[in-house]
Amino acid sequence: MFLIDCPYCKESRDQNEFSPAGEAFIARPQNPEELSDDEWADYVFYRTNHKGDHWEQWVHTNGCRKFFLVKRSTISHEILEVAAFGEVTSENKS
Amino acid sequence: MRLKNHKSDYIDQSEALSFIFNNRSYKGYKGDTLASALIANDVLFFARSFKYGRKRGLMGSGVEEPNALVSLEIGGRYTPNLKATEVMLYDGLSAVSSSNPNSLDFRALIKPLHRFMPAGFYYKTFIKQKVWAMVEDSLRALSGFSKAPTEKDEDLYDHIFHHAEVLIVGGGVAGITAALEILNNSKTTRVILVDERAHLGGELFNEFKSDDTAISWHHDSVNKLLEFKNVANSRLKLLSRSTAYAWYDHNYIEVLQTNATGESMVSGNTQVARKVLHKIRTKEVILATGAHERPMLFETNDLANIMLSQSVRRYLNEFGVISGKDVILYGNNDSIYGTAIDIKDNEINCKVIDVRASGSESEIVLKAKKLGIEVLQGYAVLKAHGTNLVKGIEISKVEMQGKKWKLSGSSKKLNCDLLASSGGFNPVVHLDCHCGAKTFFDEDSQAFLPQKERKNRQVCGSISAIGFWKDAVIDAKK
Amino acid sequence: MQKKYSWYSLLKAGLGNQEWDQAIPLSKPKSKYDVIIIGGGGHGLATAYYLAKECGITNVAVLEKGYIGGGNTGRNTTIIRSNYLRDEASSLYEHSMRLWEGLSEDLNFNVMFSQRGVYNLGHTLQDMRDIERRVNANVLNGVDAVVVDHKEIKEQIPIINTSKNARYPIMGASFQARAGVARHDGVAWGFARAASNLGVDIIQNCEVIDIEVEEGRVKGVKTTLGDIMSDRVGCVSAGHSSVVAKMAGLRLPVESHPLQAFVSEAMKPILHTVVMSNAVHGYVSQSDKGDLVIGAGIDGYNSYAQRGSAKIVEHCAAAILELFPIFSRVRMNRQWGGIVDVCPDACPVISPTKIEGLYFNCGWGTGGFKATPGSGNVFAHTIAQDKQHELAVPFHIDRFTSGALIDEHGAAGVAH
Repeated sequence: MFLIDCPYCKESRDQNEFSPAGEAFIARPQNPEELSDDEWADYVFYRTNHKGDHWEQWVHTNGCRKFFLVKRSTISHEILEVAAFGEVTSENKS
Repeated sequence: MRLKNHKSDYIDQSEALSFIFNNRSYKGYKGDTLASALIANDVLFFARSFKYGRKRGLMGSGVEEPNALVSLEIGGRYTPNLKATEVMLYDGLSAVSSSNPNSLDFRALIKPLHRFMPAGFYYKTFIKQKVWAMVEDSLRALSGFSKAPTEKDEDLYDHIFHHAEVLIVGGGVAGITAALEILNNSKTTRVILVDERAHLGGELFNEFKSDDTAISWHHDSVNKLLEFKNVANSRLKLLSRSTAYAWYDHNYIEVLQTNATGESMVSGNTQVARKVLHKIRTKEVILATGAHERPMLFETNDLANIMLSQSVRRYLNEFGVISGKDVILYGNNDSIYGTAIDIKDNEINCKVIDVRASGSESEIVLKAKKLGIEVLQGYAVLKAHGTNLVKGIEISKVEMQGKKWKLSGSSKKLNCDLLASSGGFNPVVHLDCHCGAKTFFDEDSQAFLPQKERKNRQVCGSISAIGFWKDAVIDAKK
Repeated sequence: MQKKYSWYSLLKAGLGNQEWDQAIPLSKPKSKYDVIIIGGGGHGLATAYYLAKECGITNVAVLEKGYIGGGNTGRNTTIIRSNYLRDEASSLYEHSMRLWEGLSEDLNFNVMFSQRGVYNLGHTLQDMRDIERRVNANVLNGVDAVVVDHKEIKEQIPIINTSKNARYPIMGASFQARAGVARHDGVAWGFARAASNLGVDIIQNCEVIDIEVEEGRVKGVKTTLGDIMSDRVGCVSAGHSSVVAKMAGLRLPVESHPLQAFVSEAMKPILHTVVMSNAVHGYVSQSDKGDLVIGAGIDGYNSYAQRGSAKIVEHCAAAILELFPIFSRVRMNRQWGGIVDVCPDACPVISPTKIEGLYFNCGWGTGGFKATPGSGNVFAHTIAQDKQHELAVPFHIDRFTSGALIDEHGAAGVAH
């Protein structure tokens, strides 16, 4: 039962208020009509499913209802970082 | 039997309670558990074993009890599989053994066939699917303990959220000390202290007879805790008869508090919750969960009245009851001498058999000898005699040769009607392991101890293999 | 060769006071095998067994990083059924069901397969429409299934709460009579024993740390017990599939989630069948030992920690009490979590990969146990012939590229 710091509400709240929303930094392709089937499959279905420190998205469902980024260990469940979209990107993430 | 002239703060002899166990009525006192009240009434068999239906007696005195499974009450308050050691006595209680030791049991008939029933018997037999389908239902009927409930629960339950800076699990010496230390040293820290028993103090009451400082320490400390508790906006919450049973991520801990096991919670127009689930989010957890005693191992050590030494001691000191008149203490550590001295104090026969060879005895061993307790050092129990109840034991001299124990000399027999053993202590590390922490094996204490460093978690007291209560106080103050 | 299990061998051993052989001989790794199976759970052991028995390949090693059956095989709630909606899925699960029906005899090990029937409850009109559609599909596919109404449910399971005043009243159910449960550890041990009898090496405490690939072909694996060569490697590592795939430079269409379950203390028999409800979300059966075995749902986040959230357990317990109010005072004994690898369409991947000689059997999500023999069987044939078994064809990993998904979210039991 996680305790998550919502970067918008600036408060530590119980996991019950949030919903997980999948792996982070999966960018929608810029050139959809040029994409091969393999590239589409990779974008839609394939995931890193990383064991270790993992960037993911959460949404504050029963709070501000905003999506944000969380870096969490999938081994210890420790939350290492939270960020609003834009604050951290796939280029500058730790 | 119940000892005459025994004084205990926990038993109120002015209030007799009547109860029914396996269709016979008995009397006990307020403060008794079902187990202690039955010992007082000389009931020694509580259930039957799972496979051969052997009669089983008590082994422990609390949550560690494996044998004394009972069901409580009927109808909407029927509760299966409770431990008699954890059921607080109330007037009108009615309990039934999960497997009645007094009725005929045909499972004993298959005992002579045991050599044809090796480990994994069911994997090796009924291999044809059709045959298995035919026998499965009748085999299922043999298994299981109490009957399942058949009616809707008539009681209510509740849950409460708590937030605190510190949660202390275990209200023994270490837990009390840690709580006072934190409350005294801070003006804002909120503390929750959780304990399984009805009274704070854990095993300390065992020292009361021999150590006046233990009494005054206990008295003062509990009073100080109550002072913290009995003020407006108190920073301290005391949860007794409560078990911290789950530790989830980010220090979210669930504690179940028992207000009643089987008694009716309805009085007039009000109904009180039977159990309360406390959902606790805390910054720090202090584990002062203590240790469970391990038994010594020997042949037929499952006879009734072969118990744990600390449990015999607890029954004696807390409840004033004992289930034998001729007691043998057997173990590999000093704790058995404490039990022996308490038994001797009550003018009951007892002997001590210590596996360890003589020489370099500690103070308590010398004290036991001085009191005239017969002590056999360097002996091991090979076997217990008796059909259902222990009647005697066979012992032999042993010595360590290299890394192995070797028997030396011929064995001899001793009579007894109660054997209490202690094979050391296992720290209660379970809760710590819920959320990914590991244990490590400590050669000195011959036990698994909790992982040394862990974020937002401290341990103190006998969970880290500290035996003496004053050492636990010092440990907790750190 | 192990002694055959029978009444006769039991009698002989008892009279002669002989010691039994170790049930499952364990091996040290050799330097080379014809096939390596990564993962010593039910599916991995079954794969090895059928490779040896049906494909004639006995020079096989099963590499297990912990102990056999210590992962999801030892953690699941043992429900076995084949009433899936889609033709592809129901054929696969029905293939498995038929193997279950003769499995104890086949393995010479009683896996305690108990066909006590499974009810899938419906609580809304839409539930009932879905149930009817699924039952009709099952019947067309030769899978036994019937729709029952709430009166019949009450007759068969008198302790269930079919009151109209329930929060989610029970309207009816689908029932599969041949479905049931089995002894989960027994399944792993039975397959392991039978496989090792045929010459398969079962190697515990041997973690694969890398997969050797050369010019698009698999060469062998690096393990904590040294390097092992093989030009065919089958990965059956459930929750850790993505981790193993990464060693070969692959990504998979799966995500790992925690799934939880719990059991009560043992009681005398009270529940003689299996009851599942997707709507209130919980399922329960009573084991031969007498404990209630209860399964909960998955957490939505990714995890490899083998533990989940309290709210999932609480929600599930509430659902079970909604269905069976008499269980309110029964105390729960143990609770645990496992890691399940979930595919986007709630169907598994049984497939070769872009790397020659490397095969994956993964993505079983929350319901892999029921498929253990079938999964092992079709995967063994897939590896042996380097060509998918005909039942495995629809489960090729390329379906995520072609779009030919097999949507089984409705029948998969636990919401994905």
